Amino acid sequence: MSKMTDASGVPVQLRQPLSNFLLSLADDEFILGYWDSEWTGVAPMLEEDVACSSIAQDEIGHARLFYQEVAALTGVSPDHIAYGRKLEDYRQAQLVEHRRGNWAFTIARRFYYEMADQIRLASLQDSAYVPLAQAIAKIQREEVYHQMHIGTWLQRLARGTAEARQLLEQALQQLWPDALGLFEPFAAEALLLEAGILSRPSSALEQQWLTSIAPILGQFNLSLPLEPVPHNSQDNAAGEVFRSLVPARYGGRQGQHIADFADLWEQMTMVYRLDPQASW
Amino acid sequence: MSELNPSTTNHIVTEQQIWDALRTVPDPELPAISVVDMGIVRHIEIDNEHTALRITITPTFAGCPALSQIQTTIRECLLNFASTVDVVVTMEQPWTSDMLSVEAQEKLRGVGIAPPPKLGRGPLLPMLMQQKLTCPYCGSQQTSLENAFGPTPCRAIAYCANCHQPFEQFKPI
Repeated sequence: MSKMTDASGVPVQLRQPLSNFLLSLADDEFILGYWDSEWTGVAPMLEEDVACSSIAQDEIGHARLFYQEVAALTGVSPDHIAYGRKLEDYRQAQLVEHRRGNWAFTIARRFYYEMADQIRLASLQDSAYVPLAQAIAKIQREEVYHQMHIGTWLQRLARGTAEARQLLEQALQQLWPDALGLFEPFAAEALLLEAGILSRPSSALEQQWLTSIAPILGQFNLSLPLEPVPHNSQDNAAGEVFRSLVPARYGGRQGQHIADFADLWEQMTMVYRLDPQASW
Repeated sequence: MSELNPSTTNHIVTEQQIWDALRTVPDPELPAISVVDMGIVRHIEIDNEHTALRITITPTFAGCPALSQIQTTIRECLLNFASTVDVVVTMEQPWTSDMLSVEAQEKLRGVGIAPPPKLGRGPLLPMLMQQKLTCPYCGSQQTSLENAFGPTPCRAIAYCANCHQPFEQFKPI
């Protein structure tokens, strides 16, 4: 499989699927970063004001990197990609679209998201699209701090007061179908896999995610609509396999979005829509 | 601005001159430290006519909000040496905190920020979580990490139980 060192080395038939995929990565980070930045000033404690602001800034920075890659492929400016698209042209999963909710909701969502993001990033570190692999190498180091942060808070709420635990359980249950939606297959995924831009299909990443979150939640006695699949004898070496008892909620990757995102879109694109030439 | 620089065409610009000039360009978020000491300047290219410079830099953090300001400041500084200055950003070989110069580590201590421990190829987290941080004010290791996030993406917040000072830690990354 040949490496593509920059946008000009991407064959024509791969450009659209690749930029679509990059938009999914970027929009997930961008929208989650937007909502989480709303904790600035109102988080449960001062340290979390700082942490949420910093994490949100990281995520929006990562989105910017991916938007620049899309810009290189499409010739459209990164600002226009970020703020100039119609609602249905955004590609984030619906998980990141909900407004920030209460603190337990924010933590539950971040837990699902960070665990999935970690697996997704690892699967891209040897991508045949070199600029993507380079961006990933940078991003992975930063995400380590996000993972540490969310691990601490999951434990804190799960082992905290009865109310904290209850709110966490509620949020984990409520967000479950949306969390599975992070693994909605991308358009033309087979083409991207064949070209080595993706190394594993979304379904394999989903299984890896289930296998990684199940023991963590089990450790805190938090249950989810999830069951281990009985092994057949040849599969023993492959480790435990899980299956969700509730279907995933798909649509985000195809541009179907919930009302909360429509509100956010109104707000975040307002200035750009009023005056695309504005600079500040 | 280039017409204000009569030196542009009369002198041969050396790479050393450019490095020296860049040593005067501060990091906007840590003004005590130059972009060179920060380890973010990757290459300096000078064209054959000595009129155009191309500087390649890399961000400390992908979302560094100071990056465009750094590009502008470098450009303005180097227009004293050439009529065209391009400052481009690369993600090749990501920046790590091991790229801070020895001088930068000293200067960090001077402004109350503990320098990051050397990472080598090791994992990040144990460096911040398990290794005792040294207070930049009194040198004590009776310290605790208060928050892995701080006022800028590259800094964490710690506390010294010996001199009762909060201090910042430049994150190993």
